[in-house]
Amino acid sequence: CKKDTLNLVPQTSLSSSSFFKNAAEFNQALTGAYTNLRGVAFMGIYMDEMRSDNAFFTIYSADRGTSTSAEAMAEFIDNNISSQEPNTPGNRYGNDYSGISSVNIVLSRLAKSNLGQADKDQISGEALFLRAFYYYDLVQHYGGVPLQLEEVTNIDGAFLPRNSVDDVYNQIVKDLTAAIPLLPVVKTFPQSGRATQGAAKMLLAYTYMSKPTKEYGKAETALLDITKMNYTLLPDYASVFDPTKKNNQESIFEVQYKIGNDGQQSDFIWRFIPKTTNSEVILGLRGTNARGGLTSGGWNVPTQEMVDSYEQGDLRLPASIAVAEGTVANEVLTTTAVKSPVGYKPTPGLGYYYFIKKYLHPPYQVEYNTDDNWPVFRYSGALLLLAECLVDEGKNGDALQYLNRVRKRAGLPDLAQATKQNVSDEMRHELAFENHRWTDLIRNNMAIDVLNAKGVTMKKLYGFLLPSTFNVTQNRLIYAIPFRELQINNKLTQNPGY
Amino acid sequence: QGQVAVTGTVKDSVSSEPVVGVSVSLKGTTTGTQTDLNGRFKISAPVGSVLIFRYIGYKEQQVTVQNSDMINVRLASISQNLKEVVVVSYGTQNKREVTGAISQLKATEVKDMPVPNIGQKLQGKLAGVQINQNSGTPGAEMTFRIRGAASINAGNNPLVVIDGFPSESGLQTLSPDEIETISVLKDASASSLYGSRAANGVILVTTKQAKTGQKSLDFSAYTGVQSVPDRGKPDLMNPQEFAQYKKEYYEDAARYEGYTGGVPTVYQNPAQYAGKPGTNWFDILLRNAVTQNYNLAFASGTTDLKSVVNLNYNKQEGVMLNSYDERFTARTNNIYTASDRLTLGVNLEVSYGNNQVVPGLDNGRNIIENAFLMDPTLNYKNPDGSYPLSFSQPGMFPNPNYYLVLTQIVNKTKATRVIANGFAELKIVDGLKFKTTINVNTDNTTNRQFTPSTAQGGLGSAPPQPATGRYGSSSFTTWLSENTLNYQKTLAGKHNFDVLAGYTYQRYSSENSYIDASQFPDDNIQWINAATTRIGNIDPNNFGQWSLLSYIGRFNYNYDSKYLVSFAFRRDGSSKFGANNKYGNFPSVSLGWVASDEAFLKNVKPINFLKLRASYGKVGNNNIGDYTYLASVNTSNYVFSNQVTPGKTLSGIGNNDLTWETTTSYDLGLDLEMFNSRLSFTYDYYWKKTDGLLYGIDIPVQSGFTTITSNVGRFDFWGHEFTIGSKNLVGAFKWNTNFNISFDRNLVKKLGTNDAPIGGYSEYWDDNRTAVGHPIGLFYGYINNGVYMTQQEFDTQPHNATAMVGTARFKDVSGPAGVPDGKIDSYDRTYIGNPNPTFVYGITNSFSYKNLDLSIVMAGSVGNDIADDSFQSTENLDGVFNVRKGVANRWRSEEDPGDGIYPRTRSGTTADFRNFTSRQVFKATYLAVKNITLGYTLPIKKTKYFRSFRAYLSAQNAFIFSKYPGLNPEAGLAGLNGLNQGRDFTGYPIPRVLSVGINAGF
Repeated sequence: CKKDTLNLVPQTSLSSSSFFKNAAEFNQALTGAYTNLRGVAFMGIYMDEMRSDNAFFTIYSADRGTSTSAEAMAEFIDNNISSQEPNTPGNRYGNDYSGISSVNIVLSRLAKSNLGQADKDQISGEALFLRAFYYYDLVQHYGGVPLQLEEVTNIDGAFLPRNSVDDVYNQIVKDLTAAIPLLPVVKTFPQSGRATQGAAKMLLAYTYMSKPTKEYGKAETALLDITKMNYTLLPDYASVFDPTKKNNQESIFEVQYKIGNDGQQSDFIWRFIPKTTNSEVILGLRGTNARGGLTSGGWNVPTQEMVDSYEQGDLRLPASIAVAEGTVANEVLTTTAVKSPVGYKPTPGLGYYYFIKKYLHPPYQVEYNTDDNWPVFRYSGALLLLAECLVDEGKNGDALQYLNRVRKRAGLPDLAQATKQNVSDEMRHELAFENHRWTDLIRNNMAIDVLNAKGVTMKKLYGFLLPSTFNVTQNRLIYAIPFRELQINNKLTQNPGY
Repeated sequence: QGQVAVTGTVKDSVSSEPVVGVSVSLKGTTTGTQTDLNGRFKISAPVGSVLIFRYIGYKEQQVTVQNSDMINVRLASISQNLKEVVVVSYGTQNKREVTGAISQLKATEVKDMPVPNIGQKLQGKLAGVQINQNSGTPGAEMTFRIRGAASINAGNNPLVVIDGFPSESGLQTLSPDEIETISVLKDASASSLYGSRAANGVILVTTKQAKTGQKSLDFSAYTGVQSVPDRGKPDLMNPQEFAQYKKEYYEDAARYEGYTGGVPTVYQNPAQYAGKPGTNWFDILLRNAVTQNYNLAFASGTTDLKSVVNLNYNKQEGVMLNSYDERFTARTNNIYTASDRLTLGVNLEVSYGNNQVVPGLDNGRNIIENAFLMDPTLNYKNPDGSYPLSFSQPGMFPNPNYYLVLTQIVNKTKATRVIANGFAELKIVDGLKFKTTINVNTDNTTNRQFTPSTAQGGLGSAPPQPATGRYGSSSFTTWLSENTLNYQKTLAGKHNFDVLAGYTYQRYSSENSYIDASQFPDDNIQWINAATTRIGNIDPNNFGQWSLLSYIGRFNYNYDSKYLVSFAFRRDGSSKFGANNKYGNFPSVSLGWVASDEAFLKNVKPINFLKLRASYGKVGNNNIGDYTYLASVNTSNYVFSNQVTPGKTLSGIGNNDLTWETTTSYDLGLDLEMFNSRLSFTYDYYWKKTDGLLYGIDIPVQSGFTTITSNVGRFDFWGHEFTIGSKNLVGAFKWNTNFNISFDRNLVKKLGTNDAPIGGYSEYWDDNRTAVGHPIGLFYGYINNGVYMTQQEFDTQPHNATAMVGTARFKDVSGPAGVPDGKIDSYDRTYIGNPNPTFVYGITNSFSYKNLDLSIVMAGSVGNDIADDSFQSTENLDGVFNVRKGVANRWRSEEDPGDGIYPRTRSGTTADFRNFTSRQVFKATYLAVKNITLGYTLPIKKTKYFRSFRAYLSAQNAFIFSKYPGLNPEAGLAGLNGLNQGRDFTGYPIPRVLSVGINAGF
């Protein structure tokens, strides 16, 4: 009796001691590990796409608060302390490790459980894929990070030092190699959104092609395997992103969202539209000012150079980008019309902003509540990555067919040969605004030149840019380890230049 | 030789009150007894023998037994002060015998202050107790900090015990009129019987009981007007200055940034605003507000039944519009003497509170601040008397009309609270008593919110926007059962024992739910039924249970009331702690020596009394949340196959070793009375350490979590406290002075695994850092070093990535290698201020002459710093806010470099200047005249129906003397929480109250 009077447990939540009893509960914990994918998609908007040559932001002078840290990333003046701010590298770092922790908890408890082999295989296959995915995200953005591979159950387990870049890539390969035989090949579409063998092979190919010592042969094998699975290109590029066609036959892996009041919605378009006083012209929904565009939008704005870089007749331009036209006062647009960027001529006396259209699927019922999934791996991306791999191996001839398959769907004529440059350009347009461009440039050793060139253009356009912006060096190809982490864990070292 | 059964009553020679517990012994024998609650005794003695009457603080008296069986004795006291009974843990004690560090105040000493909260009355009265008024919000609690107590997670609020019951309702639900005494237990020996909850000190509140023979009806009332003094309101630009600043802002943007938009029309001709004072939002949002209080008390005491009824109504309107706090309290306390062995009692208080305050008025970017940051030409009212809904000026945030926001938002909280105590005390044999008490405290609160479309919004978001509403209810219940045995015995006339043993069990549970409503068709119906979307939920943070099972024991012994020793012990078992550490032990010991009773001091005339005290003890702090040791499983859903799929994730790393944090404390004290007790002096030195600090240690996020709650860390505290009471004049004109001063120090000795500091990581609103080797909660930021006045200065001096000529210059303090590195970055943040005072003090002077009396209460703090967080906005150089007048003298070019304080407005460079820097840190030293009361007692004769009448005038928060430029040097968003103290967000202003009141006795 006395013992019970002092043992009270929460009535409004479960406690860990009574959880992890059966396959259903393990699957719930695994599902929890998927949610961090959303953080990767969200942070990539600022840290990948906006830092690349595809996009920039529209300055809003009235708001010089926390948004300055997001701007700093596009301007290459971000630092270790701005990593404490929202939308910043620190969040990505913590988000990835939070996902890794969820995976580690599942894996370490799964080993001690008495679940059946089939359940164990399914759960550990997906879990290992997710851990590889999060470590890939970390190594791409922060370099060699600590490898946490066990559930942390006490303080000491939280203070591991950094591992080398090679260690991290090797662990990714190890996890994916273990996961692939446990994962299913997708047979029916729409897919569920869970990890599949195709997704794991895609990630494995990226890994082989991104690590310091490239292994193109292994990447080629993985990508060729994908071409033998059940994927195909949809006939119409724009429909690939249509929420009514989620997880379609072109999709290899998507971050899942669902419109409604379950808290599972996406909200990307709210960040992409211009800062505008009348968002209803673009979104069909007025919404409140706080979130209805005036302070939320203006991010990840396609650059003029990006618009100009599309070839004549590329169907992907009007599917990916739109123009909002109207009167501009104090950087804020009163929108009068939404137009296509194809052959767009500014109307005299009016201002205009480009914005990303890929994720615009009105009508909306509630602000910040959309149904769009975020594409991570698509079959067209697999074909282009295979083309890139083959070119890197010197098999330019073999690459051409994959390149032209993607071009054909975009309404473009076949090319006569595949080169490193034209494969890269194709990838830029095919995967535009899907958070690939920044790491694609780095993988192809193009980032420093391309982004310094972007800096010259941007500084000519925008007088507000400080002289110290766009000093793009090797050090800037990864982000700072967050200041907080260095303060707490004295075994960590900062990346050079921060 | 016949035995006579002698009975009688012992009374005080002056007051004629019965004296309880007087030892009556037969000279030359061990036979003896004590007087009961009514001062009566019964003893069998031979005729001709001598009875000795002894009681602490009184002169011993001897009476020879005659043939009469009735002996009534009137004892004369030695000293008025020492006769005082002090409320201590689980009982009372004669002040002379107290060996712990306890400050006690009688409510009558502070009765005429026109404030609804006992905390306000205690300010400046008690050594070692820092009490601050952080906010003027009606109904807001005062913050307390006893002997600098601090914890990281567990807070520093003392335990509040009302009539022996550690209830949850706290001090502000009590009406000050029903309080008899307040005792503050400061050292571990005084408080260790409260064990795991006593580390921050204990405040014991005793409510009034009737006395035998009393029959009285008292009525008191006051009413007052509250207003906010002008001192400390920010000195912002007037319309012409502001238009000039904005004009120059755009001119500089054109000159330096290629801006081509021109100067907006409204700012092109600043001279058009000449002579216009601009909108004074303080005048618009504040008012003179009425406060009123009525109290009716009826007391009746017979030997069988003593009963008090106290009825109180208090209403305080807030000085900000649309705010008030209203409270009705009814209390009845009853003691029934069923027989000479059995006493029963019940105290019952029911209170009803009704409060309306717009939320967030003390937070950063609150309504007042947002309003005065707007373009000063904007007016809250149109010439036709209508109200604009929103404001938008070129280059500035859209804003709502803050007058409408303040006046239209509904946030009503209604609470019904009950505090009940019942007890039965049985005398088993002489000196041995068993007491059982049952205590219950419940609270039922409902909260209704509604924000109409016209008031919806804030900085950067203008109305109209859809209305929202909420209705929520919450409740808690806590009950406590205590069972104690008490044995008092005097052996051989001089060996006095007092032993206590007990068993207690307390349980608490709380629950809540709320419904959020949105999509109202209009603003007409404010209840949630009008909304088309209603979503219900609970707040898990206010949902829980705890239990506490304890054993207590105390052993007091004194020899002849001269050599005193006390042992106390509590063993607590708590549901809040991990499986491996459910129980904790909290022992203490204290010693006292009444040196003035020794022969060598007896003849030193000036000294009436001298006692030396020493104590040691351990107490704990268990405020860590109900289930912190468990890692709970949180919902973390995801979508598969376009269906919501349940997901779970662990909330943290559990810790089965979690246990109390322990404060070990030592105290040395001295009590001295001199010159016929006209001068009294108390001194205490304390040293304590709190180790096993309970807190969420920051751990690397690579673990998947940001903190683990653990028992690591140690703070040390030490200090000196002095209290002096002096009867300066004792003739017809009386003048008394009470002065107290406390010097409190602390030092952080250990934190977490790597001693990682707490706080001070983020650039905004993260001002305090607690780090090993420093006092708790220092301000942490950059050292502002002016402006890079010339290109040459900029080129040759350290700077950061966003700096240019004309921007803010910081001191190069350090770098990654620990030495200045020629770069300005996060390594250059350093300690720039200390919010811990050097000392705090209070002085009360009271004067009386014939029927006039006057008292002046002053309190102050010296040496602490305060951070004015409004500077981040009022010195913002982005052109988005109205700013301090000084900004006119900012850097514009090398030829026009300004005063070297204010940097340029170039975009991309301005964030540095609003960073937390030494510019925002000020000395908070102040002296406040907290209260002045002038009273007049009507010189009337007592009649059968009319006893007394007194009227008074009172000024609360009369004056404040401080160099601090902000409104309130006591401000603090986090109160006196050591980790986050001293941060002023221009919160709800504190009013001055001028009032008039009466007390009438019937």
